Amino acid sequence: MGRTRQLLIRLSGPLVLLAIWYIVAASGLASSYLLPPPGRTFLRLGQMLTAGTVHSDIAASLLRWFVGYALGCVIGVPVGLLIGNSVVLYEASFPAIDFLRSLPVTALFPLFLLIFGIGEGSKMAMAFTATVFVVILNSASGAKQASRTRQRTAKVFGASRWQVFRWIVFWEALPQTLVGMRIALSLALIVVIVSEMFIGTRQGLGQRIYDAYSFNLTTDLYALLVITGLLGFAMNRIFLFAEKRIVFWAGA
Amino acid sequence: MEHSVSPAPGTGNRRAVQILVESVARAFGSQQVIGDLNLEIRQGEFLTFFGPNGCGKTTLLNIIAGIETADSGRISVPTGARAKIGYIFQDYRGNLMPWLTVAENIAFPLRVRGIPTHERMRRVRELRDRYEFDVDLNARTYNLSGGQAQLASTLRALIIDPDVLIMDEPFSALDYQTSLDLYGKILRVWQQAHVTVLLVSHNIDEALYLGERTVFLSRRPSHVAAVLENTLPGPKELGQLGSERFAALKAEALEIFRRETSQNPSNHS
Amino acid sequence: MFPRQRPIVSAVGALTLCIAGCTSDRAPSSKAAPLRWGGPANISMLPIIAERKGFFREEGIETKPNYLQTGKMAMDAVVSGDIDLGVLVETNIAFIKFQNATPIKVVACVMQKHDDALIVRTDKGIHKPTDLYGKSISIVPATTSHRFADLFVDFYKLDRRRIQFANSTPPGIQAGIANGSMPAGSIWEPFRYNLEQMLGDKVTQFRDPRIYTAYALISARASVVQRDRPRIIKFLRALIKARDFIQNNRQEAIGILAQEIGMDKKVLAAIWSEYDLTLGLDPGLEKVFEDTGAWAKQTQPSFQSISVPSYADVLDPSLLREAQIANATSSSSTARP
Repeated sequence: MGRTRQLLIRLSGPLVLLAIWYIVAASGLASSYLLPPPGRTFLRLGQMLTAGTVHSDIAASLLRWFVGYALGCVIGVPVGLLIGNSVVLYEASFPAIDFLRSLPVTALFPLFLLIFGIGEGSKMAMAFTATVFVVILNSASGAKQASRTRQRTAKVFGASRWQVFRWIVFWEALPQTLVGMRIALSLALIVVIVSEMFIGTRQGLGQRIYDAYSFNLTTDLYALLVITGLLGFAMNRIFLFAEKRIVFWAGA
Repeated sequence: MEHSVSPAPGTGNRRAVQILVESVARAFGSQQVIGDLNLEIRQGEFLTFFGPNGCGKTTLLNIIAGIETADSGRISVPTGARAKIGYIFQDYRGNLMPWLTVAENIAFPLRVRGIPTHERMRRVRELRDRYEFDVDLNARTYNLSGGQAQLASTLRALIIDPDVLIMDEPFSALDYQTSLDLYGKILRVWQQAHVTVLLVSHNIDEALYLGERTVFLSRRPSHVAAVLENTLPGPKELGQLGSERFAALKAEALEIFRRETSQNPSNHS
Repeated sequence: MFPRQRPIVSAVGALTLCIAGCTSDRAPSSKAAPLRWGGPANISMLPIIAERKGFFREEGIETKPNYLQTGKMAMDAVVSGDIDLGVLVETNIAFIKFQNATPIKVVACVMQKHDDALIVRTDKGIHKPTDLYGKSISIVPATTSHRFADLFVDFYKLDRRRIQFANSTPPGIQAGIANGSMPAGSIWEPFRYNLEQMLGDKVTQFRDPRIYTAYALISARASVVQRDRPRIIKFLRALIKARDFIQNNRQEAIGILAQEIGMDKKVLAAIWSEYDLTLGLDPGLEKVFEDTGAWAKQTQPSFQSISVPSYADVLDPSLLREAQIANATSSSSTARP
């Protein structure tokens, strides 16, 4: 498929959605309060970005997301790999971790408010929690599925258990680990935005969204949602780009 | 000692015993796979193994290599020094590391031994040049053809300067032409490196052609049913595969094989 | 046409219809259905009494009450058509008018309240307004809580830059003050009562009726007013009866209301002065809306580029007048305009 053709096909989806949005808004079928037209929305979006009012909110949300996410990965990846590498550890811990991952993280927010207060801590804790269980599960799964053949080959060539873990299991598990990290990326952002809506301090995209809701500013609300969506989309794309380069052999 | 590619018949018996397999037995669960197997493996010989499915050819090789243990019996090394084993597997995709370059794969056994990178890479290049293998050291293993991958696997097995080279159906996954090409290369390696080669094959031509002797294993619980010597004269070359003498050898082999896989199990002790 | 692309075209068409359906102005419910009203309990005192004492039934209308947490939720419910009559406050009217939503009418004012207050933790060192410096006041944005907190800061001439406002929800503020994660919160009843119950002298309240008056309003979509005029008038007549009942049976009324709001009736009796149960529609409310709109434009960055709308067409006193006339002719007690 030619590059141009591929690009056009990729763009067609969003363009169709925009067209539907435009048509529905323009037709008068929809209330312009509930569905502001795309033109007005993007104009407002542009205003927000150029006036700079939303920059500190984006930065605040990204910081909370980053700290929680990074911590979640730093802890989740090694723990997951070690669990996946040991049959006993895996069987013992898997039910508990799966249960914890199945808890809606947002339901834990009141608990975190109690523990961490209404400041940055509770929001970062939310991002951390959302990240760590997904990352543990995926890293463990990756390690568990690590090719036994390759591990045995390494042992045949004299590698110790620790060397096999570092040189074989880690790399074998890396594709699945990165998948987990990518899923957690989006999840952690969602969770940060939502927790900012519950409890806002000065800055944050969730805070702005809740404000727009509270003041009936639906155009602002849509514009903020587009910004938030684009942010998540961009982060995902960047991660995918890096992922393809890091695990270049996966899918080969 | 001068080592020729194909010694005259009979001289093989004068070589020292390198590995002695004594009454080795191995079961998997309730299934007795190897039962009371005895074999002498001679220094520097090219020994091939052939037998019906499930007779434990791979298991036997693993036991000899020390990867697996026998339930009873023992493997002893009369010369005293423990043999260094190089291993080449059938599944080259599954045994090479796709995240490492070809060179890094070959150097892996050295890395395990803590040899620094610079030195490792030097030895890899030197090894490749010694055997004149045409493999791209900087390539990714998943881009290699089957033949190239097995050449890389062979270099990996050779890099620790082994005494014994164990090859478990190394050519089974390759096409005929590549196999023929690799026969020549492996014979040259055997000649140049002065290694003992133990090769398992399910291809009777291959086993008979490459081996100085071919060990025929019985059905399970397996023991050595027969050892056939390759009595073809002169250096090995592919033309032999079409010769009458080879056909006679093969007929003999097929007779052994048919006997061992016949319905009557009472042949076994 | 497009035989091979039929699935895609159908999917796109279905998606379009879904979006249009979700965001359209929903038609009001049929005349046979009960009249749905809703709002926060603390400002819905008149309808609560009318409901509980059967005044709506007496007027011959069937009603369905919905208790909502904030006036904003009542406003949303009115706009979306989930309820016919909303009990909400002037901030809700002021803000909805900035948008192109369906036209809204206010038909009566059922209360003037002073029950917003700042509740603070004394054990966090807050004993007087200036102790709020360096701390954060939790508010419910765009509500009376927000207005009160802002006017409070002006009233005591506090330095805005040294106090932060943090967004929350009413139960969120209650929980936050209770567990100490919030040092101060601006909130209304029954949340203030609950906190007094839980924390005793660990909290104190800053309030002054001069700071802020909030107006509880009965509001509906203009289309609903047009279609359902007779029923709404009967609704208002029932409210008149409710107001008279409360005046003449204060103890019983307080008992009923305390239960619905979720407070102890002794406490409600004690703070009864925070609620002024008028029933009227002062034209001065238009100015109140304008002031509120101006405040939003002044204090909220999002409103910078929008101009304050006109509130001239919001108030519709005609229904209340008809209700009052009807009451005067049907009962012996005098109705106050």
